[in-house]
Amino acid sequence: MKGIDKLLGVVALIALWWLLSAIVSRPLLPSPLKVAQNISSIFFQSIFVHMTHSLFRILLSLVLAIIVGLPLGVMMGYFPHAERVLAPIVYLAYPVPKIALLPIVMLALGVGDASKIVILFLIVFFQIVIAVRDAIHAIPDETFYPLLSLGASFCDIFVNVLWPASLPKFFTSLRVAMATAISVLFFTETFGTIHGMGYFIMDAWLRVSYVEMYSGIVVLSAMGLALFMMIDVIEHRACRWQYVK
Amino acid sequence: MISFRNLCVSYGRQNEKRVALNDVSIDIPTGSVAAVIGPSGCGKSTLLKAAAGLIEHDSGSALIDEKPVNPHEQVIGFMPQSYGLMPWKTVRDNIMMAVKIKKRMSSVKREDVDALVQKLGIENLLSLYPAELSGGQQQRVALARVFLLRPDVLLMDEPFSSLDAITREDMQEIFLSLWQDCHVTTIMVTHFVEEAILLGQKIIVLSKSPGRVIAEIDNSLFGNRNAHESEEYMRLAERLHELVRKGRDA
Ligand SMILES: Nc1ncnc2c1ncn2[C@@H]1O[C@H](COP(=O)(O)OP(=O)(O)OP(=O)(O)O)[C@@H](O)[C@H]1O
Ligand SMILES: [Mg+2]
Repeated sequence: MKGIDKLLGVVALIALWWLLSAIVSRPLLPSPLKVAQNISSIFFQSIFVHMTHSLFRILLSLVLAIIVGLPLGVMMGYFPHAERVLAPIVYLAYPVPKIALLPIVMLALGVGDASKIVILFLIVFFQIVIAVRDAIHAIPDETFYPLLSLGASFCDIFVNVLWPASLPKFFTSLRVAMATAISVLFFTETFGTIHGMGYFIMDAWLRVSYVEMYSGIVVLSAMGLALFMMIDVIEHRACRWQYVK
Repeated sequence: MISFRNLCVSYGRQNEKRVALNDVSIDIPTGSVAAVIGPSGCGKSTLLKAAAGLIEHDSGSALIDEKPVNPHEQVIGFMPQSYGLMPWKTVRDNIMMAVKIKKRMSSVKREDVDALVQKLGIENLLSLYPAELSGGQQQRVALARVFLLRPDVLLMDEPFSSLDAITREDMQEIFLSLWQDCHVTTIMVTHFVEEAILLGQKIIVLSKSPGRVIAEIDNSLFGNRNAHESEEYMRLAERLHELVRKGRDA
């Protein structure tokens, strides 16, 4: 999608919202203008703190999931021994809905940031491991020949083949995981904390302050969009070879 | 010298082994080019992979200068059937990859790279990716990579087969002229009789799978593009066609 297309999409969405709010004409659905005014007046007083908490949680779990998941995916993809040992574990653990583990994680780590981050980590982590492993499995043997015939070390092979070949699928998995992670982030922030976009939105809802509630939803969505765009930009930089034509 | 001594190679697990090469013995003297020809699936690529130390063999040996093939010790220039360029590397990085891995960067002079790239006519493609190149251009990049490496041995798997006739003739000329500069010991796999006669000082004919050597012919017409009309060329081409046909149907 080009920048102009994205802009058109946003404009269309706001127009639709506007139209609906005019038709419904009740506090339940305030007009986008009101929400925008509200955001601009309370953003730095209240929303900003919540946003930084949410961002901190999601970025930290993302970074941890990459640090642990990427090497593990590479190992499983490249070394048959590692695959044989780890595959059953990953295979069994992957389909478990991570959110269902939240009670256990909270019992172990309390209701604070740690349990939220661990749950987000688990969601992103498994996606990364599986995507990277599959990407490496998909590399044809011939791709390794020029390196192996040069007596390349594992380090050479990682830098020249494994890493670049798995990047596109790695980014795709990040994107997929991010959508789930943001929903789950919202859910985990509705209890055990007084900071975070989830808390902010639910608190506004309980106070029947619909304009604030919508402000929170808009900011959380914008946050998700920004994270998506960030991944896109990094991918375009890192995988330039995929976009030549 | 590259030597195969009673080399046997097979694919698959113990119980269902499929023999690909059966008792192959060949010597390719240092500083010469051998062309290997044979029907499709006869084990030509397998022979090169064995020479490059990429696959295990069941028995016999593959030797470079009387030492068992070892990619960590010898410098092997291997050009796979599909060129072996990394799609995620620019032409420049692809060319430099081999010397970097062999830690020979310090001995490669800028002028050498420039001259080689110029000779191959790819000086304007250096910042492109392989996907942006034609087949012939990719081929040139692959040649630049192996020749920059200055390997002990050069192994080329049907390097020019997928090119159109005109481009193929150009590439054969370029190869010959690069080879004349360094005389690297070379095995070149081909399935064209004409190419074998042009580029092989020794022509080795393999039978259909499992591949055996059915003929080893010393070729005096090597490098002579104008021999096409001569009596000798006709006779040799006829004989090779005959051998390949016999090897295929045997
Ligand atoms: N990775 C593999 N696993 C199992 N069998 C293989 C493998 N590679 C090759 N073979 C078998 O070994 C035999 C020789 O294959 P090889 O690729 O060496 O033939 P080739 O002479 O190079 O053929 P072509 O001219 O089509 O390239 C074939 O019968 C093939 O089926
Ligand atoms: Mg082949």
